[in-house]
Amino acid sequence: MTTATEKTEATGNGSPGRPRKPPRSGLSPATRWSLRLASVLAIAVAWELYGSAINPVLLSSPTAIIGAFFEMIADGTLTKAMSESFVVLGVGSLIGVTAGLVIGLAAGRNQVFATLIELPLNALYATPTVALIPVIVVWFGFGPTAKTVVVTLFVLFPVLINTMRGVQEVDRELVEVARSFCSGERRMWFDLILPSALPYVVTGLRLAIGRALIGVIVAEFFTAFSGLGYLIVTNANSFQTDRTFVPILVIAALGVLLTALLELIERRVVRWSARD
Amino acid sequence: MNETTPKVVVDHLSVSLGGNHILDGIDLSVAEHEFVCIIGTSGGGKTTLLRTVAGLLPPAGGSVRLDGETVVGPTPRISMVFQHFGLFPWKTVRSNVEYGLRVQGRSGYTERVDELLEIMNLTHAQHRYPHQLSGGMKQRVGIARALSMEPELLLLDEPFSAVDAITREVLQNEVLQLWERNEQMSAMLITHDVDEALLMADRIVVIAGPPGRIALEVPVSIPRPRTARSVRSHESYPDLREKLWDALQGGSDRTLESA
Repeated sequence: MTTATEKTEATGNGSPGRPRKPPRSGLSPATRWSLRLASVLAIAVAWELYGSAINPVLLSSPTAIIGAFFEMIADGTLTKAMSESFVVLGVGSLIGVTAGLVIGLAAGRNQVFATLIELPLNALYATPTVALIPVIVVWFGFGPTAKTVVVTLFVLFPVLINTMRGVQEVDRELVEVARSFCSGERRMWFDLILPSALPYVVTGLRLAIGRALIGVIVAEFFTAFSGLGYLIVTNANSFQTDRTFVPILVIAALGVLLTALLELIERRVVRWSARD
Repeated sequence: MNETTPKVVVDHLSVSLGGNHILDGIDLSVAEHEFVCIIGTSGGGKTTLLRTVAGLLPPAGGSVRLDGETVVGPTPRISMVFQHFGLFPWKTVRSNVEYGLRVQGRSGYTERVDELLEIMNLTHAQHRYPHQLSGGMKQRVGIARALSMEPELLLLDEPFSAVDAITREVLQNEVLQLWERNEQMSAMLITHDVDEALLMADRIVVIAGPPGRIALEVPVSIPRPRTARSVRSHESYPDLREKLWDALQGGSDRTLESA
């Protein structure tokens, strides 16, 4: 009884299975990758040419930085700093993300709780977290604990606020659908609330990655005598510009890597999205 | 029409939403395997009536009874088809159809779902996501999901208002055939389309408001199976249509209501 209209009704060509996604832009993956590579190469070449023509203290050069990189691995300064920073980054992010998710989910679903935390939350979010670092040092000393607290605070808010919004923006009609099929609250979380909050959570996580990296470096400027941030400060103070750039580039690479990883996860998890 | 004890009784029902009186003393009954259409202008309270019958809204006064039992909340015996489809975007077509069964904790429904997908012509699309479907296909999923529960009362809230005219006609016929085949199932359909009501209904109830009151109740005795053409060429059609239009206009114009 419906076959006659089937062709006109189905979007696409009506073939079974998952339809092909149109490419995001007109560029093929190969072209896109060669363009990316070309831009990095161009920057490196220009830097190399200009950097080696002037005083190495001012800019250094990619080859000098690569040399310094291996030197710093050989003498152990880089690996030590990396492990110190990454532990802080990992622990701080884990606490911040977990707390942000839990508080965000609770606040998204419970209006009383949301109203209770609203003002302190907005006040804390509006305060530049950097301004809190001196106080955090007073409370937690100069050790890794203070750094972890700073990273936690940097990560907490974007995750919390986005998660809360995601839960609050649940489609009212779908809540009605769930209720009409007699869904209990727990099922509703899995069928409805969590999936619909997920894209918001991912956005929160993307913001959190950048902020976590800022957090750990700034915290190391101010507090501990360890980590990549400390390495940046001490090398810069002794005019070893090539050795200063090594931790900076490590952080940059980590940021790119983590963001790419998140995008990969996002594409796996949010497959149903109609973004294309 | 079936003259035995009614399946559904709406007894002097009043509903308020946020302090506004939406429905005022609605008395209505639906017999077993009866198809009742409710028409009214926008804001007249017809969707509120349906949501209250579904147990999604509490009555301010009166009650809704299913087989003599008061409806106090959603029940699997009543299923609803939603105006904007109400599909979960992160679930595939199949998984959307299975939704109610899974919530109910039923098992061994694979064959039943296969059959429903087949009936609704969705088998080829069962692994797609809703955003990859046309409006008509989405509503087929919504209908299949409602039917999966084998409801005794099927509620349809302007189910064809978001699809194009040609698809609407196809879907109307499909729903009629499904209802005709299922002899235990009563149906209440909300629409603002007089011709749709005349095509589908055993009885048409006009609600005028706010606050929503029953302005007119007429049986439709055009023989089934009906088509849009057979309805239009039936001798009672012009009269019925005029009566319904008059009642609808009375509802939107307060000065005529007392007449």
